[in-house]
Amino acid sequence: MLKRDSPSDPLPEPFPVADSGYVSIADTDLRSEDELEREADERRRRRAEALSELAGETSEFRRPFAPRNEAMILLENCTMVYPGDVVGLDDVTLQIDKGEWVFLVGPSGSGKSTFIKLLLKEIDATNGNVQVGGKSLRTLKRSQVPKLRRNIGCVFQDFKLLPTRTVYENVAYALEVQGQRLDVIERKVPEIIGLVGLADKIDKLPHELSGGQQQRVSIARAFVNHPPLLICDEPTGNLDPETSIGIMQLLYRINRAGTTILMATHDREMVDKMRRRVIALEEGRVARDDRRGGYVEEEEQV
Amino acid sequence: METRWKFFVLEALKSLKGNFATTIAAVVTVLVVMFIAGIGIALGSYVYNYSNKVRDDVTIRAYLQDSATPRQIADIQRTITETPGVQDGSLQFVSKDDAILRLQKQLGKDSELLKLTLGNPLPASFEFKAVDPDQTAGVAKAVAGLPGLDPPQAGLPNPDYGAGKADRVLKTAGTITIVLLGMGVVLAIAAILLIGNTIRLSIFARRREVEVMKLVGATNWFVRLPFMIEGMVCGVAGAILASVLLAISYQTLLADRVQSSMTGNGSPEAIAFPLLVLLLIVAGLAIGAIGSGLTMRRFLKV
Repeated sequence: MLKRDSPSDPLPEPFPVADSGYVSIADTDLRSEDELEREADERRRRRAEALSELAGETSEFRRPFAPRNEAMILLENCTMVYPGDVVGLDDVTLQIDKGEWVFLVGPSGSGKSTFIKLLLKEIDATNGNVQVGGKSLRTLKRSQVPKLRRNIGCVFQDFKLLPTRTVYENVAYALEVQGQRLDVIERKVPEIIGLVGLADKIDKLPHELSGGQQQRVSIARAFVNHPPLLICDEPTGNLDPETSIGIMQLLYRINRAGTTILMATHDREMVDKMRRRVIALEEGRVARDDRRGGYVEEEEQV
Repeated sequence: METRWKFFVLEALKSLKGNFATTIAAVVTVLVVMFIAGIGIALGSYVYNYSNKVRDDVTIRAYLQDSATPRQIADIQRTITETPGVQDGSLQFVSKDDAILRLQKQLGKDSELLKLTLGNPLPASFEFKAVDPDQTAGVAKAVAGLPGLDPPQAGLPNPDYGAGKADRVLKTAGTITIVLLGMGVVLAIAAILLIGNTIRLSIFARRREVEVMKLVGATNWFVRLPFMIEGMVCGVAGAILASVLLAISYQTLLADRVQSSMTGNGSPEAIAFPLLVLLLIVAGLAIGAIGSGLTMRRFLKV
């Protein structure tokens, strides 16, 4: 049922990476938003460049944290029926390994959001089993749900930042909910904000930032705990293509540092360029699960 | 733990400042309710104390004829002391001189009325109380008709215990107490609903925020506590303002009149003001905490 190539199959490198072999997100200086806002010509030129890199790059597969064939996410015959007989997911079985990068595609109402809500235990599956990080969510106590969520970073299309808090406070909140010590917070938060390239915006409120910058803040918040799993629900859905590339580069680096990434997206171009595992949902069922898929079914696999 | 409390309090204060309009609305709501409640409590306690005092103070007076012989007087005294139900040690002989002195004290030394009277028209009397105020009538009856007592006339019963008066006062006090209690219950319900509603508005305006907090792994208590502290701050602020308002209105409207009509020791007192303030503050705290705590519940199901 699951169409998957062997795990040893090399993945293309969508972004050029320094050839030290080991890449952590800390090594990378990210481009700032201001740079992205240069003249139109310059932008277009660079975008074309970036996309050509995504398309052409097929360098040898070298990752510090290869997928370990250990399940990060496991769904077994999972069915979700909402009140009113609305089917969210219909008998879905799939496994996502630790360290993988997976695109979740499909039209609206195909079950992407249901899938994500199940993983966060916002809802409970009507039938079947959901496991995250080896733990069954069906038997997970209500009181343990916050703990689960601290281990899953979330990035959303609408950013979901706290509107009355500064960049710093938004990121710090994710640590405060765990009762982190103040000195830890004061050390980690500026560090991660620097990593996403917003050091100069640290005291700004969300509405003072551009969409791309806000999404960087939400990524910083999602990643400040270094969760093993990062779920992104259309992270570039509200962003222009240039800004999207920056966000994807950021997520790419996070993935290379070992974090599993599950990304629901409609960004056809990005899926087609990056050539990662694609799970396509249709009416709550897995219509396609390609190891190196495109956004739509293709006659000839690359 | 200490730093956590500091965090919660700071969070609460921050959001009170950030939602200033709602804060004011909540405080004013508490203020109005507490003001009315304060008047009710003061009035109720006054009526309660007054009726108790009337009840406890029901004194039976047996008036003697001026012509009563010492033997008759001794007999009357013995009969009273031997009557079951007479309060030990309550028996007091009031001579004609005592009686006129008392009247002088009540009316003032220079009263025209006293100047007009020739000699001393007041009779000597025995004063005593029943152990159980409700048995007053029975006890009085046992003494009635003894030789040496003034014969009762229409409108001037002897012994006299102000038969109708005490009954009427007690009945009225009972009615007032019931009305005040009823008002208190209605007021308390109204207060909780009003405050709950105000807080619901405030939380509803921030439900997205609550949702985000839960998504980054905040426990219910972590989200709830700042809101509850907020509610308590509003409650206490409202209660304090209501106390100030009560004090001001008492001083400007009532103080003089109360002072002049209720001199003399033993006049019934309303509840002590500091105690009233304490009561209002505790009620404000409770209503704020319970109101927001309960209202939070539905918004925490994320």
